Amino acid sequence: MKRTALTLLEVIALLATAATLALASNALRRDGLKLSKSYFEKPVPHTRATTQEGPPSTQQSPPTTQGSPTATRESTPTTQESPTTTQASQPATNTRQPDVEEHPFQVVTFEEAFGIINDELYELDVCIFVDARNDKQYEQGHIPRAWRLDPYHSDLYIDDLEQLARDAERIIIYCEGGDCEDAIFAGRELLEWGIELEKISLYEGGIEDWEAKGGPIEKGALE
Amino acid sequence: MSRPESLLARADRSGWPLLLARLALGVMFVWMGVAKILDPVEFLKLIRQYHALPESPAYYMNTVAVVLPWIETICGATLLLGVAVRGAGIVSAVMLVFFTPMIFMRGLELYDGGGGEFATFCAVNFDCGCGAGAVFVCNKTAENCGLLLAALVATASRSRRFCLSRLFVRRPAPARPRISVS
Repeated sequence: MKRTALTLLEVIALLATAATLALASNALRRDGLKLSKSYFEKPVPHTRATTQEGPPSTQQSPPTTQGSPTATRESTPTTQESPTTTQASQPATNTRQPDVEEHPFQVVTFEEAFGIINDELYELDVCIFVDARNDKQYEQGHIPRAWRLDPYHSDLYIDDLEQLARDAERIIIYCEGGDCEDAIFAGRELLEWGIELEKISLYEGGIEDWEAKGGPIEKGALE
Repeated sequence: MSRPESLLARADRSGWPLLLARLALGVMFVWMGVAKILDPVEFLKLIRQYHALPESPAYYMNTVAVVLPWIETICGATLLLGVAVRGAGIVSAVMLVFFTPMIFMRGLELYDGGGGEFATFCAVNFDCGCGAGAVFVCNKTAENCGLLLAALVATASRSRRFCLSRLFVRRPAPARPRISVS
């Protein structure tokens, strides 16, 4: 009986110590999690292109077939030189896995993204790239002049990025590529900041696609 | 007349099985716990892939992502030191009993009856959120079964040889010889 009570006491002491240390260290560290924040929740976009509000069945169709999200986005009324024009003439380069979340954003291809960084307006931040990966990944290599927005620590970037995102005509977000969803979460974060949906695009191929196709890479932290 | 001591009891009394179990469990738990503590976001994403916790309210998943690695680390550290060994053994065993089937089920989900990208079930390779990166599901299941056995040894052993806690335990004083005055 005494042995059982002592063991129970040990279990309680272990759990209490671990919980105390965990919560204290999480509160103190810069990259700690906010316990109440829903990192994966879908916010309602502030504005939404009418053609993107179609039935869910359109969004769920395979990306390489006609009638896919890419095809739906072709008729999106935008004032830009629409990325969808490019998509219409090219095969879809959607590398997403089937279990990756659906999203309301426009999609850009490597060719279009590559064209943007070679545009002289790119230096003026009319169009910006946003890297949704963590510090380490960003420093190992990113698209030239890409800004950072780690969606799990968005508070750290809001000061630098919010005004820039409001002023930009177009924001292209990317992460690792493949089944990475962080670009989608970063896009949702921008929507929460009040950035219009029409301005936000996703480069779904991500840095993997960019590197594989020979896109230029910049290394180091953002200056 | 006292019964002869069984082989298991004799092995346990030697303290070596407990020491081996403590070292195996302790090193693994500290290593994997620290890896998760260093990158809580990555661990949060990996927890999410199991769909075992609700995403809303966010408290559940976020709290687990923050606290669980510390439970692992503290358990591992106490096992290595040899303090609160039985308590740490029980907590470790409970965690392993929960996580091992979850990893196995996730492996089955990825295998998808052979229709997925993996040719055989044992070829299924994914980051289980255990702290060691991508692992093969069969290897991980076998490893967890071994760790569970070690946790059970730590829980059931009566020996405290090689344990730090032995220093704190007050031993009963040897009985004084009675001096009878006749």
